[in-house]
Amino acid sequence: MHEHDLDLIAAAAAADPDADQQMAATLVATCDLCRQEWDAQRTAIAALAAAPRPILDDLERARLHRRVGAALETELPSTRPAQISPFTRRVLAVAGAAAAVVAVLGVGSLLRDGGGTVATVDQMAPEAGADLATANQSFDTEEDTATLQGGIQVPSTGGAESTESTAAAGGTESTAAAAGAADNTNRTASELAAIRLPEVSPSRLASRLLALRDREIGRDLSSEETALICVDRVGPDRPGSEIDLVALLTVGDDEVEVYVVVNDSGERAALAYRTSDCTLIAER
Amino acid sequence: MTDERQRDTELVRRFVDGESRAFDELMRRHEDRVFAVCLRVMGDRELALDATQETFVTVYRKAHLYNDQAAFSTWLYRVAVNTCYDQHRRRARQRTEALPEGMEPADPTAGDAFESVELRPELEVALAAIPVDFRIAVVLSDLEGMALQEIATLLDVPVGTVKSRIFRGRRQLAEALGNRTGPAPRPTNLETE
Repeated sequence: MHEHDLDLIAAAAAADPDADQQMAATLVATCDLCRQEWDAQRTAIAALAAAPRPILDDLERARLHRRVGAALETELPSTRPAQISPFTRRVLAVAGAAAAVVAVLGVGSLLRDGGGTVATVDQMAPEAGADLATANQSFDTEEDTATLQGGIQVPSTGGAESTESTAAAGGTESTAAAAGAADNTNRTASELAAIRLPEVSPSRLASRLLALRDREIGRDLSSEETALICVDRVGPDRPGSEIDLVALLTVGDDEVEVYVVVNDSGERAALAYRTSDCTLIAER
Repeated sequence: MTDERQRDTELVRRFVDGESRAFDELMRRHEDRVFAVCLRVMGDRELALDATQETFVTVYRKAHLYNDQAAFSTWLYRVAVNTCYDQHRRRARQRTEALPEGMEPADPTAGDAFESVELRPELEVALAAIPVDFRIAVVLSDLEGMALQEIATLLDVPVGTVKSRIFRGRRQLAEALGNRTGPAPRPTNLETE
């Protein structure tokens, strides 16, 4: 009984030097199925060989460059930490500004001075607060994500009292979630008040926030990039949690990296590290 | 190592060292070919543009993970193919979610990425009709001219699997084309050409 070696036929049809051409010729000459296979392979090869390679037209090329540029505007370069430019760090800080406010307010309730007044967004940076308020018009947040409009409220968790600020613009009340953790700092509210958010126009901030809606970007920042100085501390400090957002801030003369993390249960927490030595200065 | 490969490797090294212009040059050198692969796999210029964009964004983010044991182009096209796979899966999932419960598409190829109504050459329509694994193997082999070993490396499968996918892909492609181009010349002796 004749055995149909269709792989041999296919290889021979493609002029594979390893194919036994004589055997293939014999099979094609004597076997209908083998002949059909030969025809099919040669038909496909001929059609593919005649196909021109498509190229980008000028408009598509321009769009591609513009879109890649826009997508990368919020990215850190794949470089070592020492090579991060101040601009890049600033861009990251801008991109994470919304989370920064969430985190900082969360940190703020840790930094409170014995139940005294907590710094509001207005006290920290009125201009940035207004920017955030405007940016939120384009920031379609998820349910578990901070919603930033005029006023910001941090709901209490783990026994902590909630913090509320008045509206920087519009007076609309909204909430920002941050899961609880033990207070490990004795810093005061005055230090919190010294925190400066990046100066940025509403339109630029809005575009950064839109970009951050892509959770893959957030994951990529957290898991792949080495540019964040203290990122390796987050895992041991919060095992099993995933970094959701990152912000770089300046507190006095110190640079601070704030990581908003989320655990398997969806609980959020904010960890603030001093960049110079990666000391955990506050968590919430 | 070829001049082209050396040049790519040098550009990646410069980019990882912080020279952003090197990334621009890498993109210029490869964007047409990446787009061509994405278009052949996705079957739609807009989807291909999306995949090309995503590919270069990924390359930007992950360039530091590239090691020069394989050609940069192999690594790049692996990223492109994986991006196409991801987009294909996402679109398939969206289609599934869009269907009313219990309803299946009447035509198994109707929901493929090649579903826009614009007219396309029959080859692209035929390519759309074959499974994506076969399509990618055929595209890389017969349209991009890659060697079997390079495709195997790119797809992370054995060479035999690549061969099998190409053969079966061509077979199904021919069926989709309906052998409209007429009978192929057959071997009458030891030569096939």
